[in-house]
Amino acid sequence: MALLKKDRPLLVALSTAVLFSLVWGALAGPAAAEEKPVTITWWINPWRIAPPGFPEDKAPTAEDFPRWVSEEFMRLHPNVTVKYEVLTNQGFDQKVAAAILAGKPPDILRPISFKQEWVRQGLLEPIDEYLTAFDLQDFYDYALNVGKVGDHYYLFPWNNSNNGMGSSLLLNPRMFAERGVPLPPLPDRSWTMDEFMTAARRLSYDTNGDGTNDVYAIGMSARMDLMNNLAWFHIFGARYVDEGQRRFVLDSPAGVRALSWLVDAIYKERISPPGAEGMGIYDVINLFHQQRLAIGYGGPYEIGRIDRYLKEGRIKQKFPVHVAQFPHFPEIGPVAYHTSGGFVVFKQTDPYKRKMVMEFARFLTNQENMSLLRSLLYVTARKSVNENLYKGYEFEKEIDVYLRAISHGIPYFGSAEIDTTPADKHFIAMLEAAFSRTKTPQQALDEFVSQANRLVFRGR
Amino acid sequence: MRTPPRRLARRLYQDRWAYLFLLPSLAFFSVFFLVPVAWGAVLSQLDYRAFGSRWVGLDNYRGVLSDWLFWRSLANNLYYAAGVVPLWLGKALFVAAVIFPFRKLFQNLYKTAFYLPHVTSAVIISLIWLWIYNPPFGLLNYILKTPGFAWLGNTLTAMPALIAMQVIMGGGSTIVLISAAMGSIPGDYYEAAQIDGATKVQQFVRITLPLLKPTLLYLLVMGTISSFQVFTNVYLMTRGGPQFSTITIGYLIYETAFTYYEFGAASAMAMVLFAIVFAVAVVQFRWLSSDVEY
Repeated sequence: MALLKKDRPLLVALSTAVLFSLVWGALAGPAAAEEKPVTITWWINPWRIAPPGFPEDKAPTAEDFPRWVSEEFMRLHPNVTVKYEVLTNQGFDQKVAAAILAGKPPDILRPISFKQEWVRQGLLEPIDEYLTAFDLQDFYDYALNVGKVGDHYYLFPWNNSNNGMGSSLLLNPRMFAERGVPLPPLPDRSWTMDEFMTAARRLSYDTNGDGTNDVYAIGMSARMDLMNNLAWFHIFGARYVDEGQRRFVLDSPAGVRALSWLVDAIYKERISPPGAEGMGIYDVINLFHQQRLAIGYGGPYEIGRIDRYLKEGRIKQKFPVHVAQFPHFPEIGPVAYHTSGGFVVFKQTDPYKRKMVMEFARFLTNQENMSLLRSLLYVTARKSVNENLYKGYEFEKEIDVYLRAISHGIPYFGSAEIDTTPADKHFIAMLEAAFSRTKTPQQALDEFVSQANRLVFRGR
Repeated sequence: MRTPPRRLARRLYQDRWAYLFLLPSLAFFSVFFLVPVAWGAVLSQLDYRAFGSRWVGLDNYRGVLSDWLFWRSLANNLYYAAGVVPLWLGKALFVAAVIFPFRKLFQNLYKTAFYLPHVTSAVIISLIWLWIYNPPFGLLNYILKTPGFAWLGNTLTAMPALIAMQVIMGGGSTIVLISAAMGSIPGDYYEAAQIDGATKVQQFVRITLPLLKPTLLYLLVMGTISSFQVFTNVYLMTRGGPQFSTITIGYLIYETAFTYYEFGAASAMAMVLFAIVFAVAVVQFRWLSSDVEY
């Protein structure tokens, strides 16, 4: 006992040390384990975003943004290695599909388009618990809904829209001025269908006197982005699928009127070049770039594309471009395509790695990093970022027109609950049939609806 | 008569060097061809999911064989092969026959010229022809003065346009092979024919063609197989349109696997294609090789 009394301070010190080590072990132990090295693989298609401090006289490459943002994240999380890979647009889906087939998808991906099939196959992580209350209020609803399947979200929204295709039009003001056609007025450059047709007739003309138009108001094409073609249908009040999301209804009287108008634009009104049944979206974009079309498709991003093509020598002559709304019927009102792109996280088995991948996705889509989309003239998926992003900027008016256009936005392909992709090729075939006049608009639409319903809604 | 095991072992030992030298090639063939084909056969019976596939037996085959688009693509494939193979082989034979009497230098010059498209990327060739066929500003419409005509947008002209492109651009390696085979025909035959008063055409029909038969049979089989596998032109130029008039099995397999992620159904299509091409090759060999001397 005497010995114990004498050594009491030592005992107390030892006990304290043991207790401290136990507490430390309990608290610090897991943290230490959490800081284990993690490697995140990230795939993205080319986004030529200028990172902070990038020289203004240089054009950013597709590598600059992913490299910068990966390095920034690794600086904040030294135990994490981000291995990014920039995939070309051509072959993007094949490479992702092959990786999925091999059971080795990337940890995080910026898909060209969100695939619900991945959710159905159990390939994606739900992100609900990584979205804060602020995120849920700050992201546009339509942007969140793009990646919503069932009750869960699977996509961290990043950018608005798909180059503005199906949301707005591009005007060549020089060609409008040459033909004495007034532009639709600011602030929203909204015009009725009658005003559009009056302008379109005057913008289509024969330059060499051979009796055939060489310059046209606008281009149509069967193999164009689906969004642009569907925009024309929606303008007439037609809808792709019914409100109950149970069947395709494009063969409605409004749909037939819309398709008849598209065919007439080529053959009767001659405001659109012939050969639409054999052309694709890039043929139409090229015609606009060659100033053989006065009106093109897309949003502000397409202004940046013209600038890039000029630098690359693909366009010889610079020309001004204004954004305008698609025309509308007063009784129906304006309409635009609403969608969003972002990042998905593939299934993770290690909880800590899952946490860090989600952290990286959050980092990519935080307000600061999202605002870098400005260098591409992209509108972002966050309300708070868009508020001031283009204030005082060269293209502020164009962005404003675009934002006003998409305020009328709807998802053309119905809700995210249904995957209409299997019907896409039949939609194109329907347009090919109508544009080549091998079928009447009614026949082409009836056939499309029948095929599409069989493929998408069979068994529902 | 059964070979006794000891005799077999002795023969294997005697030919050991031959087997050893064949081994690398066999290994590559197995890894890159046999294993994928076997795996494709397995995959065709699965509802394939990256995490947790399900065995569905012949369901994928039933689905494929009851899909009208599959039969449409098969018919298109037959149309394409029936158009491309005879024209391309005929063109190669004609060019080889025309350039064969030339001096070696000129022969090589022409062979090189015809071979060049063969080493050019099919993507580049397709893009050039897309421009040629472009409705509003394509070269073909400019020459024919038919502005706006969509060669690739019309159900009647789209497939012939693809066939024409393939026939015009293809045949380089075939010309080289036929020329080489012509060179191996002994000159005595032609001298004897000349003495007998045979014309050039008669010499070609009675001597050259029969002696070229083994080469032509090989080219016919290989050409048919590659015609059934056509993909790049369709993918880049028509995407199977207009109204599915150019959709081929190769393109449908690609679309099913990489657009709709139905790997099982795509593998079932691939296995059916494999069986068809195999059967066509067997028939061609049986019918045409009866009087071929190797």
